Amino acid sequence: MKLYGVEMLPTSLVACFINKREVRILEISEKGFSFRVPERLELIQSIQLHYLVFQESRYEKLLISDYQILEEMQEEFYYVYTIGCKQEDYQRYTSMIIRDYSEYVRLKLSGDDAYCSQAKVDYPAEEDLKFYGTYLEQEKDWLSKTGYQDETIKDVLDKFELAISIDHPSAYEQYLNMSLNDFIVEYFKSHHMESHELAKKQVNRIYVGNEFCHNLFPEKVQLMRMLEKTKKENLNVTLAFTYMRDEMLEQTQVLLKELYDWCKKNEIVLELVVNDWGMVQLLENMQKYFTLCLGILLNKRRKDPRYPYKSGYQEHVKQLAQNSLSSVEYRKFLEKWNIKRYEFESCGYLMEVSGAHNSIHFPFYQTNTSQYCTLYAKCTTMDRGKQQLVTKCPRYCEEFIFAYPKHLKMVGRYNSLFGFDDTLLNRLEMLQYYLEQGMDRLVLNL
Amino acid sequence: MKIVSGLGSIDEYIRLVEAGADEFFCGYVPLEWVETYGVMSPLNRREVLYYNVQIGAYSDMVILSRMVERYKVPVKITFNSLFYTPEQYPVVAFYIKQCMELGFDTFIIADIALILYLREHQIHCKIHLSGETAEVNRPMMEFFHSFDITRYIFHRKNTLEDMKSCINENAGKNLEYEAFVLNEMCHFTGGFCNSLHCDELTHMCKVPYQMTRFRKNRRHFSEVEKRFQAKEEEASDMEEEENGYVTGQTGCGLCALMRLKNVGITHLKLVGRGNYVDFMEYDIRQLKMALTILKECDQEVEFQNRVQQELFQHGCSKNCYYPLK
Repeated sequence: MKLYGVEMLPTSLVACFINKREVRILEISEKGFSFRVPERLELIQSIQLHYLVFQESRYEKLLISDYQILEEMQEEFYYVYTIGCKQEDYQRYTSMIIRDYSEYVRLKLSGDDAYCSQAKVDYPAEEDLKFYGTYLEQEKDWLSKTGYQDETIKDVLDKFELAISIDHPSAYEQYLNMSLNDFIVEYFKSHHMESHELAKKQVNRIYVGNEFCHNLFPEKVQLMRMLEKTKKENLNVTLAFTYMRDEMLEQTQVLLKELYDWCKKNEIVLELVVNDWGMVQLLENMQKYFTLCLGILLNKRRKDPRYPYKSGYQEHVKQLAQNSLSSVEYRKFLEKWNIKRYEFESCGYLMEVSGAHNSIHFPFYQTNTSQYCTLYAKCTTMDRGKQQLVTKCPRYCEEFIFAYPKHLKMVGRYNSLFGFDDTLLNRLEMLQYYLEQGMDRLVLNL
Repeated sequence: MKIVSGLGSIDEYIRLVEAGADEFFCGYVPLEWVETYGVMSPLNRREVLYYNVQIGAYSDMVILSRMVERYKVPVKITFNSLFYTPEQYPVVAFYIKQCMELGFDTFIIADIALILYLREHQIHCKIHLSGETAEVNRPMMEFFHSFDITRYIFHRKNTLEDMKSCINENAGKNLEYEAFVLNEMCHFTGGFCNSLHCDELTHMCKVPYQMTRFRKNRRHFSEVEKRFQAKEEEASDMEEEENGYVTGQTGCGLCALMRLKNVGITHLKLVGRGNYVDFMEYDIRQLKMALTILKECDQEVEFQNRVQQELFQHGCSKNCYYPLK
C-alpha cells in the first residue's frame, strides 16, 4: 500500500520499536508508516517511534496507540506491515521530521557547507572569509595577551615540571648554538611570551623531535650533539618519535641501538614518546634504559576547534572527558609494554586523566595528520590532495603554512592541522584541575 | 583479488552482489547507541545522522543474515571508532556477540583497547585490523599478531613498497591483506584524523584555507611562488557521464591493480557507504571489469592502457591512490 510519504528515511532520524524491538521504517507519511520484520507478527503489543529533535540533540519518544494495520505483505526475506495512524502527536512529529530532513537536503543541494552549518547550528559562515596575513601576525595576536590573573599562580606552577618542545630543524640548531638560558629566553621572546609567568619558571626538560612528521626528526649527528648538550646542562630530555614508516624500520633500529648504547654508557634512562605500535614492539627488550610515553597519535581523542558549534556540545561535553586510557585493563596492558607516561593535549574541554604520570601539551593540539605531506603536495602540485611520500623534504614548512579562518584558531603546519587552545596559558583554575587529576608535567609546544 | 564493497543498507545487498561484490562491510548502529552516545561518540567512523550509511535495527541484521545465507557473499561489521570508553566496551562487545549469533563472525576494529577487551573476555570473533588503526609496518604487525588478527587493512597512505615488505615478512601465516582502491582519498590519514565528520559541520579537510607565509619577508622557495603565479585553472579532461558518475572521482587505484596484485594484496576496498547505490553498482562493475582486464594482461603498461581505454573513455579523475613516481 502506498502512503505517498518519504521512503527509507535514515534510521537515526526516526526509528520504530515494535514490541520493544527496533525495526526498519520503509516509508513514512502523516497518514501512517510501513516497516519490515523478519518474521510474521502474531501480535503487536506496542509501537513506539523515536524522533530526532536535532536542535535539542535528543530523541522524542512517542507511543502509538491509535492505529490500524492496513496491510501485511510477505516479501522474499521479510514481512512488511503498513500502519495507519491518526494520532495528532504522530502527525505533528512526523511532519516535523520530514520537514527537517527535506530542509537538510535542500541546504546541502543549494549552498556551500558553511551555509548549511549556519542554518543548522548558527555557524558564522561569513567569518570563514577572514584570514591572517602571516603566521607571525596570527601568533602575536594569539599569544601576546595571554597570562594568569592570579597571584597564587607561582604556587601552582611550582607543582608541575615544565618542559618545552622543540620539534623542527631550525629549533634544533638554535638550541645547539645557544646557551640553555639564552635559548629559553629567546624561546619565550620569539613567541611573544617574554612577560608570561611561564617564562619565569625553570624549564626542567626539553622534548626533542616531532610527533607528527617523520621528516622533522633531527639528523642523527644533530641528535647526538643535542643529547650531549642536555647532559652537560643537566637538562632532562624526552625524545619524541612519530609513526614509523615501514621503509624506515632498519634505520630506526640502528638509531635505537645507538641511543641505547649512549644511555648505557652515560647511565641515563631516556624517555621516548612513541606514536607507533611497531616502535613499541621494537623497544620490547630495551626497558633498562628507555621508558616510554604514549604519544599524541596513540592517545586517541576527538579534537576539533569547531566543537562549540556542534549540536549537543554543551549538553554532552562531559562525554568527551574519557577515552581508552580510562580503562584499567588497557592501562595495565600499556604498563606491560613499559609505557609509563601518557601525553595529553589541552584541546578545549576537560579531560579525565588516569595514569600515574601524565603530561599535557599546550597551547597547540593536533587534529589531523597525513604521512604524505599536505604542504609538500600544495607547494609542488598546487593541489593539497595530490600527495605522495616525501623522501627528500625541502622544508617548505619553514616558509609556508595553511592559514585558516581567524575565528577557528587553527593552523596547518607541515603534514598536520592544529587547533589552538590558550586555556592553560590563562586560567589558573584549569591548571589546578589537572594537577588534582594527576597531571604532573606541562609541555609548551609553541 | 576480491572486491570488498561498502554497504549502506540491506536493500543494496542483492543488487551489489549481482554487480560482482565478493564481500561487504557495513556499520551496525542500533538507535539505543545513538540515543546514549551518538552525539559525541559514534560507534564507527560514519557519524552522520541524515544519511543511510548504517544498518540501524537488529531486525535488519536478522534479515541480512538470511540474505547472506542465500547469496553466500559475506558481510563484515565495522566497529572502528578510534577509541571507546570503559563504559562502552561491554556495550560494543554485546553488539558483537549479537551479530555473531546471527552468523556474522568478522569485525573491523581500529581501537586496540577494544581488541584487548574482546580477547580478554574470550570473544573469539575474527578481527580485521581497520585501516584507521595507525601506521602499518612489520613490527606493528608482529605487535598485533598476539590478538589473532586475520586481515590487515593498509591505510590510504601506505606505499606499495611498504605493503610488499609487510606481506613478505608474514609469508606463510595465512593472513589476508586489503588495500583501498576506489573513492574517498582523504587529505589526512584516518587513524590520525580526530576531527568531526557530522552532518552540521563540514569535514575538516574541506574547511576553507589559504597557503600563506610564516613571515612576510622570507622567500626561499621562489619556485613555489612561480607555480602559484603560473597556476591557472586547468581545464579538466574528465567528463561526467550523463548521470554525473565518474569512476574514482574522489580517489582511484585502478591503474595500480597489477602492482597491488604483485605485492600480495588479497582484497580491494571500495569505499562509499552512503553514496548513490547506482554509483556503488557502477564502481563494482568497473572494478570487476578492471580485474578481468588484469587477468588478460601480462604487462603493466598494456594493462594500464586498456584500463584507460576501456574504463575511462571520458578521462580519469587523476586522483591516484598509488601514483607512479
